[in-house]
Amino acid sequence: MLLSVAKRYAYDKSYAKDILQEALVKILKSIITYREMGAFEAWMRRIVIHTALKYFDKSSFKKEFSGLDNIKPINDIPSAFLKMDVEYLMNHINKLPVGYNQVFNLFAIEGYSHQEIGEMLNIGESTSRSQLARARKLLQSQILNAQKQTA
Amino acid sequence: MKWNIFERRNAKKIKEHTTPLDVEAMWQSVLPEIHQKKNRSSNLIWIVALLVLGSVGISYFLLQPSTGTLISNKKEISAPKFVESPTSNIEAQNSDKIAFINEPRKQNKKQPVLSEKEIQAKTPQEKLTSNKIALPSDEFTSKGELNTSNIKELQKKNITERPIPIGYNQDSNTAKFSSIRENAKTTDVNSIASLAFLKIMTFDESQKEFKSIKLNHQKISIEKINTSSKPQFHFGINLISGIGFTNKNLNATSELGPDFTALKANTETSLETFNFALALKAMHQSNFYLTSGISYKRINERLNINDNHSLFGTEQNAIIEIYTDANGQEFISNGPAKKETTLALDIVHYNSHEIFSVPLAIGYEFNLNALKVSPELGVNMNFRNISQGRTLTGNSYEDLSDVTNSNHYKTDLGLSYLASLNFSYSMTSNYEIGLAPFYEYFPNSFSVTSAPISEFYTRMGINLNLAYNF
Repeated sequence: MLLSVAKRYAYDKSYAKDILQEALVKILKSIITYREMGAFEAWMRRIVIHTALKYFDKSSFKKEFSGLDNIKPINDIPSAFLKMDVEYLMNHINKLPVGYNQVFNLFAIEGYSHQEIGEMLNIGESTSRSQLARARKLLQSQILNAQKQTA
Repeated sequence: MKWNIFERRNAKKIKEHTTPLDVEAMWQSVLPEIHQKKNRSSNLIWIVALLVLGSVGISYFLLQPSTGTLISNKKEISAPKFVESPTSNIEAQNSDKIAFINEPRKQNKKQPVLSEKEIQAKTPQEKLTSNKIALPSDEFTSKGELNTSNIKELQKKNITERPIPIGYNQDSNTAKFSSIRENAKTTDVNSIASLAFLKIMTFDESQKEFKSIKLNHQKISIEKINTSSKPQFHFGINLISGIGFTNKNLNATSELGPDFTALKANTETSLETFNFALALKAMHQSNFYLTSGISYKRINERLNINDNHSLFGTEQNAIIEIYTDANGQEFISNGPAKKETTLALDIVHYNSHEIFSVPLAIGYEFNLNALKVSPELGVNMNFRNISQGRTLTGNSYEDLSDVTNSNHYKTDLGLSYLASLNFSYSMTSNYEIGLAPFYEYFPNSFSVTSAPISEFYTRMGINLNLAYNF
């Protein structure tokens, strides 16, 4: 489960394993201070997410993606989208630029608010919102293009 | 379907999605990092080592002989070998005759120790007699054997025949020789050599302190004697850095009792301590002094926990079922299964107490020539303590508190008592360097009153001082 979390923030499995390894060390070193046993999974997940964010913050992966202004967001998804499996969708999320990927994962998957995301990524709340909108547009565009190619 | 609904549905699926992981391989890579012990304290040792090295460097620089001051505070110089010359018999006969001479000052020129040839060259009769004899005056007061009257006596004995230069002071109206005494008879050629050697020494007029000169057969020693009247107070600045070790005494204050004390004592180890201080010193002419300033000290501790933890992973090809059919044939069914891994953890936390305080101490200085010995007693007003790290607050490893963000330790530690014995060496008239073994006792517990255990600390170590007196 934790590897899946790490994988969503990483470009490939080797990065994900590095992140997971770093996160496990952190978890083990602080496990004796952990008391709230009920939310243990969420606690570990948080550590993995923070490690992943820090991991990519250290590297120079942050690139802006241009050319999205001409793409219109879709409200009603095509029926073909419903046939997608999780792995396929995750692959497309992983292809998003780091900034978009992080905001999309934190908001759409983990359920953090824009304020929390802003604090975690050290960006403004409005930046988080615009990154999310752009991430959605790009993700939709990627999936549509991939499906056109397959068809 | 709307995108929002699609996104929400898939988010749940993605969140629950698992990826197979080789748990064994992951543990193999995680374990070395877990067991890797942090060694932050080594950085601190380096800082102190650099400070000590810096102080030694400054001392070396300050101890370099200056061309302006030819006499250091205490210097012993072996007399050069002297080859008996035709004049030596005469000199031996007149060896008890000593006089001052007035010679032109050779300023800013470091004069070398005379070689045998040079000494011989300077001893011929005609050269010695060509020197002018200084008239004894009230400026040349003295104690001991040599005084105004016996200089007159020496003059009566016509000592100009063989003047022995001791020193010269061209502008004698601004300075006085306070104590010049002859400790040994100058009856042999070696002592003559010593006296000849004395010629290279000058007195620095800018100094208020002059030296006494002792003439021995083989050695000449020069001592610092303060001739000026002492001011009632004089002051100095001390830069202090020190290193030592800490001892901690525990005392259970609650029903947790001795088990907790033993667990805590086995878990937490006191490490090194170091301190820096800047202090002002006011010394009375009676040699009693008062010192105060600002001080920073740090106490390092290590918290070491050995514990086992279980972690769960997935084994992809585990035997999940074995069954036997009607014919008695055994079948094995493989598939993913949960796998528990027990990990022995050796977890180390480094804790610290950083204490800011105002020291106030009284001491007495014993002067043993250039060396000074000063016993000192005082108190430290520890007005701010910043504790960081983790500590046990209960009778199990689960009860580990983060002290950085809690109020387990006091922020104001109150008074601590301090005793030290300072050995200092005067490098110049202004600079001193010293070593001082110290002991500090904290009578108040570091932990708050409500904590289940009281923690009392003592510090022992050695301070390195660099002092500037003005």
